[in-house]
Amino acid sequence: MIEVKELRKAFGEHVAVDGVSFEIGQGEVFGLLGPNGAGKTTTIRMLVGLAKPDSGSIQIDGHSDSASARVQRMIGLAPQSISLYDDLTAEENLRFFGGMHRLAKRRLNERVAWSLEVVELTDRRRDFVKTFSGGMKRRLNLAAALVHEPKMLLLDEPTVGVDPQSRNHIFDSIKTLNADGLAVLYTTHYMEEAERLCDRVAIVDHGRLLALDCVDGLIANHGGPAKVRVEFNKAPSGGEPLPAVLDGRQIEFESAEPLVVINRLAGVGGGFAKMEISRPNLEDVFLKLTGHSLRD
Amino acid sequence: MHPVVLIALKDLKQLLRDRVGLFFLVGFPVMIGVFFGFVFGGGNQSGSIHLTVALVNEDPSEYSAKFVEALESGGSVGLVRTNREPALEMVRKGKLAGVIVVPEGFGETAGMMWGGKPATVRVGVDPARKAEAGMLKGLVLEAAGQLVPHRMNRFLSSTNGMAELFDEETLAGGQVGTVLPVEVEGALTNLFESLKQLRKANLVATSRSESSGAMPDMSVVKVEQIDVVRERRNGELAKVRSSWDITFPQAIMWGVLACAAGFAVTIVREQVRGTLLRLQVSSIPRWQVLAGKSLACFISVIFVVLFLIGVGMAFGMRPKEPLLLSLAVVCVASCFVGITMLMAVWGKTEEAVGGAAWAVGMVMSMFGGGMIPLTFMPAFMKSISHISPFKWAILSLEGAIWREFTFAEMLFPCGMLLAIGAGTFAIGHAILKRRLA
Ligand SMILES: Nc1ncnc2c1ncn2[C@@H]1O[C@H](COP(=O)(O)OP(=O)(O)OP(=O)(O)O)[C@@H](O)[C@H]1O
Ligand SMILES: [Mg+2]
Repeated sequence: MIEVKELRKAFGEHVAVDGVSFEIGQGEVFGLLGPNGAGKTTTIRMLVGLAKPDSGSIQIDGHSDSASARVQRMIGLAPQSISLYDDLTAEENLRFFGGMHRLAKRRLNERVAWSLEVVELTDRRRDFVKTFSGGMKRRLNLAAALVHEPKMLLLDEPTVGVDPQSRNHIFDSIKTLNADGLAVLYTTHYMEEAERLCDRVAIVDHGRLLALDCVDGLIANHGGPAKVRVEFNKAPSGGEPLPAVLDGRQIEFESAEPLVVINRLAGVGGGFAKMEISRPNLEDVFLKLTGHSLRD
Repeated sequence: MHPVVLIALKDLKQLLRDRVGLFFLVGFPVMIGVFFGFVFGGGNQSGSIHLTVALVNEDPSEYSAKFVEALESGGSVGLVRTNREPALEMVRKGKLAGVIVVPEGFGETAGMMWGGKPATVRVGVDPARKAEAGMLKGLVLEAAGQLVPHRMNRFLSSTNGMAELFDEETLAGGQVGTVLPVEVEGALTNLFESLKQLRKANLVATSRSESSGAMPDMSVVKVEQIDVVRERRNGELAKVRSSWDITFPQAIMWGVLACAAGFAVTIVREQVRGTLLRLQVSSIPRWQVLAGKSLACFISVIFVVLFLIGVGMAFGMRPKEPLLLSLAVVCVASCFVGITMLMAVWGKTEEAVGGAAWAVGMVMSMFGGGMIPLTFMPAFMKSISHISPFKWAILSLEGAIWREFTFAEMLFPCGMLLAIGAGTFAIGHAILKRRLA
């Protein structure tokens, strides 16, 4: 549905997006994971025709003119900054933006109701947006992207400041839509979100796409070994060589095959008081790829 | 509904919800119009309610006192008692609408219909307020007319016990001549005439609201015109019938400026708050976004102008040419839609645009006659004013309201408005387009 090739955009000297390529298929949730300033928003802006790429190509559902009405009708955008009319109610906002896509009245009514349902704002629909909390505004910002029944969603950090319960509801809704064939581009710097929601994740930093794979693939290829920490009942004496130096009754080590090693450790005697295996996550992948952590 | 209409409706809805904005749209202009209306003396000339004039009484007789009393008791005129010189000065300066001078010797013949020349009252009126001149004359005649019965009463009470003779039959018979002293006979011969004249005078007084200022043919009192020439208020102001005619076009323009500034701010607001971004990625063409905004701006200008015309009329403004006024209103609205577009790109934040719009608007207004009427401006200022759209806007409104412009005369100011509107729209639009690209 979305096909991006060697996309590049510079602001003066500063290269914001540097040769990014990816494809997003129908029914796929594609994550763009990267820290502040990685170029996520700039990429999205180019996708919807708000910014012109310096080079590279964009194809959306086979169309290369992303600013054309036909393409824009297919796209639902939830911008990173909340883009709503404060002095209109939630319902009026959705109605207005739906109307901008020329939805027929009946359909518009249904869609507005449905979108409000997804973001759980039905009971606040008659309230002015200016009376909403930050999280509610964020949710309505997402609803405004859904109202015109787009075929693909571009969500730029749509859950910043949204409480876990509402976030769960939003995720469930996205998954449902997704099952119906909706394609989603989801940018975030929360790796938990990317891991949980996305089929495939692209890791970006300083405008460059560093890796692109499914979450498991990324972790397997870039996450490095698992971390294991074992606390013995009493320090083992001699026998099998230990995978690391013993620190009192504790031992910590990394291993690509932690279960095999643990199995071996069970044989050295002393008995396990505690045992922790942490599987590498996208944070580790990011650290490995960039040399710095995602939160820096 | 068409997106252009949806955008316009949305904007108008937001406008109506913004109390402060609404105040600047309608409340503030009304205040300006009313304030300056009173400053320029409009409060004294609204319709036929009240007129304040100087009264110079140079005659010590009881007749002049009665005359003044009668003048005041009518309630239509406020009198400022003073001497001839300061009175003329005040009228010249426009502080008072006119002056009534009761010259010495007034009492000798006042109220008499017979014997020699009638008493004289001299009346002077601010030439800019011709409409009131007729009214003032009417009031003077009415008051002088009331001296007639007074004169009769005095006469009768001085000729003891003869009152009963003056019943209608006797008078009608005209039989009394032989038994009455000569003066009495003279008085009675004139009594019918007097009463007739009195009725006439009252008629004049009651119909004074449509008084054309023409002198009724009568001799109760002779009203002499005093020439109070005020240099600057010449010819053109003679057409003004009330100062509301001058101050409400100004007030209207303040309302229009508020509309323009308000909508300019909404255009940046859409940029700053990101809602324009949503509109840009919705499937409507970009021009429709601006068309919707412009439509809303146009409609609100029209409404504000109509509202202010209504308020002005309630105060006493009387547009002479409603059709030409509609033409002027449409042209003013079109012009300011363009100006709004230009104002919208003067800054990148709501504060910057709002501030700049008002600041530039004030300057345009100042030079264009939005603060001080152009008529009162010195010549060099008037020539500077050509570059201000306010000038053409006010000129076209005034042309229809009181300047008695013909359709052909309207074309120039209206054409200027449309040209300025088109030019500013094009520039503003081009800048906005580049900024959004
Ligand atoms: N209009 C612009 N003018 C100049 N530089 C810009 C502009 N927009 C973005 N940039 C620069 O491009 C880089 C990428 O910005 P972008 O907004 O795409 O980052 P992001 O990944 O969305 O970050 P965040 O997580 O903070 O939203 C940044 O260094 C930013 O300073
Ligand atoms: Mg961003």
